[in-house]
Amino acid sequence: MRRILFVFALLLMGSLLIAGAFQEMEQSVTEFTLDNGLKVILFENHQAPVISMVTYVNVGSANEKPGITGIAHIFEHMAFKGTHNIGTSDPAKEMEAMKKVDEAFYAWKAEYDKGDLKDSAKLDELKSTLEEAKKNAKEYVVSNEFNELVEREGCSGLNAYTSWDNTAYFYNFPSNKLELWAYMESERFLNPRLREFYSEKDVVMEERRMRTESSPTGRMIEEFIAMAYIAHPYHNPVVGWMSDLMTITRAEAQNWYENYYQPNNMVVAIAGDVFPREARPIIEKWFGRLPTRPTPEPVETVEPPQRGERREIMEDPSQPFAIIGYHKGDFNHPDESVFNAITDIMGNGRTSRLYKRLVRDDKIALAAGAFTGIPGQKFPGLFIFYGLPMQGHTNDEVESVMYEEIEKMKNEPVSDEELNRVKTRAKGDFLRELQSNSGVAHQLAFYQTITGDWRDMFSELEQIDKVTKDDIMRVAKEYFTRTNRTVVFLQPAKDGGES
Amino acid sequence: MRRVLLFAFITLMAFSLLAVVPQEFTKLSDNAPELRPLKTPDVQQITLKNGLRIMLVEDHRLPLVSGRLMYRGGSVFDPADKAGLAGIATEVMRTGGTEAVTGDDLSEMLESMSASVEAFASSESAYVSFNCLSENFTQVLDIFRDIVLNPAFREDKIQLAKDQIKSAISRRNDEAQEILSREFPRLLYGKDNPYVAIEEYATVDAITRDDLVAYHQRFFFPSNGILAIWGDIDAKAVAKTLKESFKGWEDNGRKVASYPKMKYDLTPGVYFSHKDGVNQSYIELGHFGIQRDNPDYYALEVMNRIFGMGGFASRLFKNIRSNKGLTYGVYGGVDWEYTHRGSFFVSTFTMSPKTVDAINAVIAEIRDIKTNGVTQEELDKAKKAFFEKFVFNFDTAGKLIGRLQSYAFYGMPMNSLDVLREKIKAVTVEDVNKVAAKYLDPDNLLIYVVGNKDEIDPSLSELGEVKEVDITIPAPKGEEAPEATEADLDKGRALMTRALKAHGGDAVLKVTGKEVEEELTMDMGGQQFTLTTVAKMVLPDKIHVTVTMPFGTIEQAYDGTTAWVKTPQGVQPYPAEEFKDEIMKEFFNLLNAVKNPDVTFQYAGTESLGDKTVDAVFVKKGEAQFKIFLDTKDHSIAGMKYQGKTQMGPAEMVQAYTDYQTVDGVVYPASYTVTANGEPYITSKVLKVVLSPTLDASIFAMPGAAE
Repeated sequence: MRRILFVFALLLMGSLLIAGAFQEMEQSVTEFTLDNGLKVILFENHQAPVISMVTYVNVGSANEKPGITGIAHIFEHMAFKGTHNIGTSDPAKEMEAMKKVDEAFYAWKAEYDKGDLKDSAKLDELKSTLEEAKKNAKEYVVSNEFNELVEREGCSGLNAYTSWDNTAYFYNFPSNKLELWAYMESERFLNPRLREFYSEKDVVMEERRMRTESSPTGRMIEEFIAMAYIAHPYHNPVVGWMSDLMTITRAEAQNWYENYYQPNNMVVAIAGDVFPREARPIIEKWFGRLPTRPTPEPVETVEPPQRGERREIMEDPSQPFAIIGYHKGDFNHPDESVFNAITDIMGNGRTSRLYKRLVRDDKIALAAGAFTGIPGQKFPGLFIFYGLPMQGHTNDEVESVMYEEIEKMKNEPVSDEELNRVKTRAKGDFLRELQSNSGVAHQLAFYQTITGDWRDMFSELEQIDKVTKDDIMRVAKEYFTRTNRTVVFLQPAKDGGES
Repeated sequence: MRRVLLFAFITLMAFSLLAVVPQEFTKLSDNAPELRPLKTPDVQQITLKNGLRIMLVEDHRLPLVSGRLMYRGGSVFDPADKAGLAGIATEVMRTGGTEAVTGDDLSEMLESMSASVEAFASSESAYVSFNCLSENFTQVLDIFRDIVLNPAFREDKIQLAKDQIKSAISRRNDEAQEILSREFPRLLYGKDNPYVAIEEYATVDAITRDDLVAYHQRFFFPSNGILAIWGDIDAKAVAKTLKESFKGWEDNGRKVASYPKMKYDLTPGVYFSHKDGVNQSYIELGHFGIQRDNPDYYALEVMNRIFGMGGFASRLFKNIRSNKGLTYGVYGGVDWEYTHRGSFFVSTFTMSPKTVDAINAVIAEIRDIKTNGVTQEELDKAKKAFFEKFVFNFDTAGKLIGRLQSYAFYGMPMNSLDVLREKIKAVTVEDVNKVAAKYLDPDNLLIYVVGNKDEIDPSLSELGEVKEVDITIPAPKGEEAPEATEADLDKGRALMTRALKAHGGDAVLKVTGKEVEEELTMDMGGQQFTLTTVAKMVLPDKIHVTVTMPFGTIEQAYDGTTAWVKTPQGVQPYPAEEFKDEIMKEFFNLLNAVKNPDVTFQYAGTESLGDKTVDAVFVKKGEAQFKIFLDTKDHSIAGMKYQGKTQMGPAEMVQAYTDYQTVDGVVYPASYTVTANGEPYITSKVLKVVLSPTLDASIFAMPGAAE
């Protein structure tokens, strides 16, 4: 049995460890590109006969245009509905029935789009026709077939997510099912059938109600991001605006898939008990079927510099919550590693400045921290501070103390301990990411997509090693300014508790 | 309670016709090679002389080491009046540092090594765990040992932990799902059951450093725990090190505690808690389940997969979610616990108007499987999925050792995973049908809904009589009066009688009501704003208050039974209990109470209030109590202390009268201040007082209420 051990014999903090890790990784990774442009990365770990897989598509909600916000996420749902021959008892009859559903929807939509001039009675009638058509189409559905087949074969953790930047589909399989998975996964991106589209949209609307509309924090975050971005499509929520969800059509979703789900816009990463010599021909056989298509248009709108502080106070009977965001560059910007260092020093753990000041010493916050990566990293994102005031304290107090800490960071160099801790933790966290096959697969796919080379997960560590105290002061001074910030508070109303 | 609520993110319409599976799939499935064998790593198990059980697994793939001490010291052992003890004790074991090193210094040391040592308690068990890079293992193990053996429980960290938990308590009703998960077990097992006890302000306040020390003393002895360490270690060397590090740690006669006995008194019915601002209902229903050692466990595991714990393939998912489109997430089955019977439950959420439909659909599914059982096809599919996925039970060292540690903790044989596989293999359709018939009871369900009562239509009463579940967070108890002696009670009433005289005697007793106009300045979070109030009252318990603020007017009223509030948005009911408490403190009611044998006045010594020396008297009526202060010089009421609440939560309020005016022979306050938790809160000037006015009785009734 061939086993490649991931042994770090000479473990020293510093570049030796990273160089060693890099060498080991290079030996365990096999990468190749199919003729159709699909990039495949295999990482070998033969400790257990299991594999984790990610199909990482370089499209997210940021690619959406007004009128179809939410469509990236809707398509993600649809990708589990099966294919032209998985999930139906009669593909031909089903397609006929589906076309009738589309027609009924267009008729309903035409009336709905009349806005205040719409005829409610007519709309109800058209709705009933739509429901009838949906019922007829359902006759040909073998629901959940794709997912059931896959689960029955040992698939564990079948899941997917959509973000502003990308859409990822992932699962884990026992390693003897590699070819079966290659067939199923390539099949569903080769011939997806968007069956039960309008019912699934209803479900997505319920999801929006649950995650955003019924949740005080959900509402708050949606407002916050929309206010921070006035031009760039990060402004829109991933789940989409309700009014757009109401009117998106199956044709638009099909179009979306054809534009963006194409092999040179995708990365497949497999980590675990995979043997490249056997795996490569299997992957080429099944994924090679995906046709090439013209490269999709990139996102071209750039968020203009913010001209003044933006603030919003949301009143809600729930407990208070404060969030402050500053615009920054994207993942490949030279200051990115400095921001990572600042995140660590400001918000990571009990030694972080925000914890020490707000939670431990002043005792005005239940929790406080900082993070980047929201909304996304492909385009210029935000650096976010947040705080949950303790009972008896307010968002205003938390806000002013945060600004004090920010000023301190601009004017006083951080300590040696703090800077060293950043670098040590970056390495420790990196190692921990490698513990799970799915973590490795995800990291490989992420870096390959966002920088063009999976090896950059190592150069990121080198970058953070180079961050200096002056860098931190410079970046804090340049980015953490009043003009560049967006502030949202969630707090109970002041008028006697009943609103 | 081992409960995992999983809601699939993907909704698919589900209704199972005979599956038409593509040939290609069948071919690949049939021809899939055998699974390569997994070489399970060796688990070294040692019991030290002092009784400590140790489990070690080597995994050299990455230079990381993890460890976890699992011990019998969960929250189930908290005294009822100190719920939260295990949680605070474990938190402060870490944050309060050890005798040698403060918690903050430990944080600096650990975080600089990218390492962690943490402690936490769940219901039946508690843990101290660590994680580090292998090069720091020796040092981190030493810190871990020090925390386990010598926690210092420093006072400042105890206070910090308590304040944080209290803040968390104040947030516990913000999310409907959290309310559901917390309250359903309490309805099922009974609020007083230690397995489902929750912290309250009062229980957290009652916990002292001595309690934490006692907790540590009670549960930290070698025979009470199992220490597992895995990762980039040399097992032999570590075993030797552990023998040395834990030398001197002895049981000293301590015995492993027994889990509390359980009572199983099911109270089936329909229960409801209202939550504002949600357009969905969160639903959980069920009854008692089984204990792990029940031999029907295996057949039930298979039944669960078919019924509601099998992901996309389960009946609940396919029928309730996909087929009927009633919900976005549904999950449930006959759950189990090691130490007591778990619950049979189904949990879901749905848009408010579909609440009753969803519940009925779930009940129909329960009846169906109970009455009609399962098919051979369902059984085969469920078993196949189980076996195909089996490798994921132990594909990492962490998973493997976690499982074995649990088995050891609960006294299960180490080969229980193999036994599970064998037993599941043997389960037949008859077995599943038998347990479905035996363990499901759709006629005796406890149904709990958290949702928006204005939008649940048809109403829940279609399902049965609805019992409200009050989830109001109990306010912290104020200062408690000590045991009362006869002398204290006599002196108290005597002081009150003098106060009555000082304020006008008969003139006071003659008063039937009042109309009082005040100008208030309120301090909230550093901002001040002014408002005026007009309070109209008919003694003893009808009150109407109009509050005029910069941005609008609010009316509140209480007619002795119900209370309401009217804002620019409309009229809404208001909790009557809040008025009841306030009514007792009202000036005239207080002085009239001197004649009331149901009210006791307990003298509690002298204090100072501002620059006055005052006699303190506890006023008690039934459960309610507060303290009033009487000027030692002129016997007038100088102020009072009570538990109240501000916008930001519960607070201790101290009211001090700063000036008086005489109206119709009554000495009535002219101005006063209120502090909340010691901070300035209200300053009031009484502008106008009219005693025994003629008032229109209809102002106390809720506007729009049926006459």
